[in-house]
Amino acid sequence: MGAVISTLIGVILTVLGFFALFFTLNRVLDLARTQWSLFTGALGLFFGLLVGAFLNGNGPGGGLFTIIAGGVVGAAVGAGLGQLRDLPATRRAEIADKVRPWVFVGPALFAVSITLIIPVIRTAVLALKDRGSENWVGLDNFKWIFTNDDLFNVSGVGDIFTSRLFIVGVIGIIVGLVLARVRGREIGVRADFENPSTLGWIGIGLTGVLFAMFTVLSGVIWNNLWWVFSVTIFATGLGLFVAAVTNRMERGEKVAKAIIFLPMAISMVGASVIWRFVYNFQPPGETQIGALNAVLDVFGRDPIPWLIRLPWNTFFLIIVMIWIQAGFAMVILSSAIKAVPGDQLEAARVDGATDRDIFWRVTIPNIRSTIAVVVTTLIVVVMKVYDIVKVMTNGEFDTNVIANEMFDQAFRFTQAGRGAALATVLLLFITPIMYINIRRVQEEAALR
Amino acid sequence: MTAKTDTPRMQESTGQSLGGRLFKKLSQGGTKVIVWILVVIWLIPTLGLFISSFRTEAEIKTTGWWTWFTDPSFTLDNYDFVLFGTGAGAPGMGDALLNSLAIVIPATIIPIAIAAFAAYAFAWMDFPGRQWLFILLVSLLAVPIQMSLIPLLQLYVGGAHIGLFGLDLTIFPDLDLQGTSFSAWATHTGFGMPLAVFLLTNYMSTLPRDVIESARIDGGDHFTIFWKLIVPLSVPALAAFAIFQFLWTWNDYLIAVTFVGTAENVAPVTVVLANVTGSRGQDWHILTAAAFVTMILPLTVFFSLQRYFVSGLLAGSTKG
Repeated sequence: MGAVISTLIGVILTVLGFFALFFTLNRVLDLARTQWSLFTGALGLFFGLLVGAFLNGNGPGGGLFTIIAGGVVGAAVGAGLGQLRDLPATRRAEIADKVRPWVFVGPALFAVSITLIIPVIRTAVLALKDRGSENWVGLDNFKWIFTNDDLFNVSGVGDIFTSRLFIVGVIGIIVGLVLARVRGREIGVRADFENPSTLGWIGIGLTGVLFAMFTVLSGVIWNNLWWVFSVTIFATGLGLFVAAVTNRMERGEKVAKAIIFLPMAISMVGASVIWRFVYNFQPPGETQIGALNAVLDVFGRDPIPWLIRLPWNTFFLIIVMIWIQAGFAMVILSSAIKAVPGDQLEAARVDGATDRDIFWRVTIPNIRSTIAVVVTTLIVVVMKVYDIVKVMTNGEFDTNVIANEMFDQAFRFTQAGRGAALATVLLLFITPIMYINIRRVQEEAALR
Repeated sequence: MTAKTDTPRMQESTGQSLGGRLFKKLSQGGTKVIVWILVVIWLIPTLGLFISSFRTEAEIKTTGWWTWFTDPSFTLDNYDFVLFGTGAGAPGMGDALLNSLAIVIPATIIPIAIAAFAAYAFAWMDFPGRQWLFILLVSLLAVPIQMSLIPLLQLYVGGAHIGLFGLDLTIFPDLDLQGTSFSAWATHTGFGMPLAVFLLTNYMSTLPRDVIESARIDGGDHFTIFWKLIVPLSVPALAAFAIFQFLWTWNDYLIAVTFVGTAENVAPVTVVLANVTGSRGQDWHILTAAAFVTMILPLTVFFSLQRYFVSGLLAGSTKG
């Protein structure tokens, strides 16, 4: 308890000190209008302290004395210069107005520079150096990533044609395309791709083909892409479904939503423990205490070691993330659905459209941009998945992902270069999303 | 608003057959049933963990947790052991809870203060590079934190030095910060900043312009306006971000394990829980109780302040 109380006091002091500093900086700026030489003196004090601290760390040393001496000298020089060269009042006010915004944004920019901007640049540089960050190695670390069989392996690609999922997927796509053509002819266009059943068939088909691809390709990179693809598709789909249905429920909407949303509050480490229990495996013949194997037991099937059996164990880990993120998608999409203009829905109803048609032809087009937001957010979140893999399998049994490999390379095997290169690959995968986000903010700024 | 009055007229005008209406009812009922099945599936994993945490070791290992419904039993021994137990193999969750608080409290409060200043400037002050800097912050929203881990750890462990003209200059001294809660909350402060500034700027820029302009005409300077006007008006957004940041830092594992590590006197709950999973992965009486201990606080915050959390989520993502 003592630790928490001292932390609390520390936090309060830090925040108060921070506010005091901020307040002082603002008041010092006000001095520029009224008492010019005091202002220049304060500026001198600031730079003097910085120089003192620098000298303390490099060369002379001398601790607090050096720092304070630096401050005093700086203040004296500043005040003297201010006395020597005064400026007209309007010019001084102008200076104060120009500097003030930087007092407001300065602390945030400082925090972001230290923790994000400088490290990102440095990591990109480290990715081009060797394990001790001493010699330049060009793109060798990236070459290592894409030639290492554990990381990037395409040798199984031939197996895709014998995969049942692949065949089912191809059939799905063909059925979807034929349907689109037929429906299109009915309403007089070449192909109707806005039809729910057309889209459904093509979607299922594509998912099947991609899943077949991910089951035959192995390696950390492919696993990561499988994660991103599956969570995005299933969490968005489930979230959309639950949002659409619960929004029309008279009773139980809140309860249903709260339960679907609940995993968002749980840490991924906690969620991993929860699901390890669900996937628990005991040898055949013994009592199964994991829920899934108990269900298999009821049907007289042998238990399955879910987390070990290739290649689907990766997908069983992915389910944990879907379980967490579906609630996120649901909440965002639900509010978007509720914001669909009532007169459009009404007009569609008057025209005799069914609920299904209204959903696909009015609601969905209206919430398209929100769906895009959910999808991009999920891609960003899932791309850097780490905790679940770390806790559930520690990346073994071919379930490893980029972030876990990055952590191991950088901090366990002291391969700074390889770790940095893996992080950079993550960043490169995210770059298109960053571009989309920036465009969206620019559009909004233009509207404002 | 119109739906209520129009529904009966609509049914008349479309003139569906009895069969059509019956089919509609059934399919609507069908989707509802599917949703409730999903809800049950979503609840089962957590429920199983929760129930198991109150069963004895022997019970957990010999029977499934669902037998609890027919054969209820109750013990707090697991919680007693994971929270206060001593000796070999005791996870020490009690200490870990305090360690978590020591990271989470500063990591929640300090970024809010810093971000509020910046958000005010982005929303209501004019300065060169304003748009450009805001876009820079937005683009940082998506940067994977893995990009920062290696250089930040080097900074915390060895300080920052540059070689200039053959001299080795220290910019940041080696304060040996790895293994302290400071390293975690300082990192969280920086990582939370883009979202905080983004959320708060969006919120503050929707505040009525005339209120702020009339305050300026009355002679209020930026600092007074910020303190007396903007901060009180922005409480909903500040609360939304606070909950966000609280849940995020409490549930964080990667930053904690990288910078704070596993030492007993600093390791937060997520790190301890992950360690227990590694070392005692089949001792479900410990794992279930330990996992639930890590969830109590976030679940409480989540359910009591869900409204703010949801509004923060919406503001954060529907806008970018």
